[in-house]
Amino acid sequence: MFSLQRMLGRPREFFGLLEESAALGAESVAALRNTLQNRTQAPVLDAFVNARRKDKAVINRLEEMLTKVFVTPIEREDLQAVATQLYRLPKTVEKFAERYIIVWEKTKEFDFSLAAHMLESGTKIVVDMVKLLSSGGKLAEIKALDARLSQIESDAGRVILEALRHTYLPNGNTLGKIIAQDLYHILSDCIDVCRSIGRTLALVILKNS
Amino acid sequence: MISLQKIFGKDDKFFTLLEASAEEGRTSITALNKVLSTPDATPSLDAFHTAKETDKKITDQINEALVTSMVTQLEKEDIEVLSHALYRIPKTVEKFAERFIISAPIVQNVDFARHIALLDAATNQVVALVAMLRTLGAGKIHEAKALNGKLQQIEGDADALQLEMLRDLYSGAHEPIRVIALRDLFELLETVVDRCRDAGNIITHIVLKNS
Repeated sequence: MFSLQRMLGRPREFFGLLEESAALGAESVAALRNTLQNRTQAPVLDAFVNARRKDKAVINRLEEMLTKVFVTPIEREDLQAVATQLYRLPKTVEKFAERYIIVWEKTKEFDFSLAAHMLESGTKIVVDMVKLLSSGGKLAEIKALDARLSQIESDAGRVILEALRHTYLPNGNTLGKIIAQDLYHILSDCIDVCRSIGRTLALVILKNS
Repeated sequence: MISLQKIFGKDDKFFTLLEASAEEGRTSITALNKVLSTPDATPSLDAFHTAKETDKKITDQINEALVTSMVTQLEKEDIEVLSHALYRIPKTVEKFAERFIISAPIVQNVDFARHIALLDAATNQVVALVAMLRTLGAGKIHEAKALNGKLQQIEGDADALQLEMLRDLYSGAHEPIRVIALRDLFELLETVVDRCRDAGNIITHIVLKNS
């Protein structure tokens, strides 16, 4: 990274949009954790839709800037890759919420909150990683965050596997188990998205360190 | 855009191949429509396989032409990404057809008419967007955004339809095995619309870059 590029490439605007996108992903995940902790009330979709729509607007702004601005603070392909990955988080969380809302009463015997809590921890790390990208963070810092994210992914994988094990037990309500499996798979997708964002960010920061 | 690129780039070939690829996506949807609208006939995979294989050949031709062409009007990466996105449309339709054939006895009497209408509309938008690439330039972005906006709307409608179908499947009115089979089929149909949306987004991005 030569400093002229960073100076001329409107870094505050580009990185600001990525930070905004990461924050909206975190907002969406926080709404999910709240929903899954409070299972006595009917869940609502508004918070998820709002976060995803705002994120879409942010990504559109960034993509438009990418096509108009001559110099960017880091390679435009990297900015595009990070933005695309970040948008997948509120989108996948919204997908979970849409499904959960139509079946929440049928899945009361299944616990999704632990995996959601782990997803939230992962999302916070993503937010920190995007800030590091903006501030030109040190390699050691990004490696430490990436390792924590990897650990969360691995732990969440075990939690979801254990939850799935219960759905394969021969007794009980088969339809409820099918529905729960679908929801666990989408939660697993959310964790995977979080991990992919982290991996993309780590590579981009590594390239530019 | 410098004119030398146009002289040496043989752009016509790329545009023709991309248009042919988009048409194969539409052909596979037409085949799907025939299969789903005649549930009593034994479905065959031939038409889907042919559309997918033809598209694969087109994608290979594009990749080969990209290697041998020195200059292209559109960026080489954009052509490659778009051709890959277009190929995924008939590929996913074929995947649906394969699943439909093996689960046919379980999923009888299901009306896919609304899905087909959305798929038809989505592939038509993709064909129209690909055709736009021949006339890139100032002012085209509004036209591309309008076409892509319609595609986004279709994708939103497909998501809503998917939820409606799942609501019914999860209601307890169906045998679990039917729930599993139909859930998988509906998801694949939604994926086809997603593939069309992906292609639309790529084309809009190309138009924006070249406007």
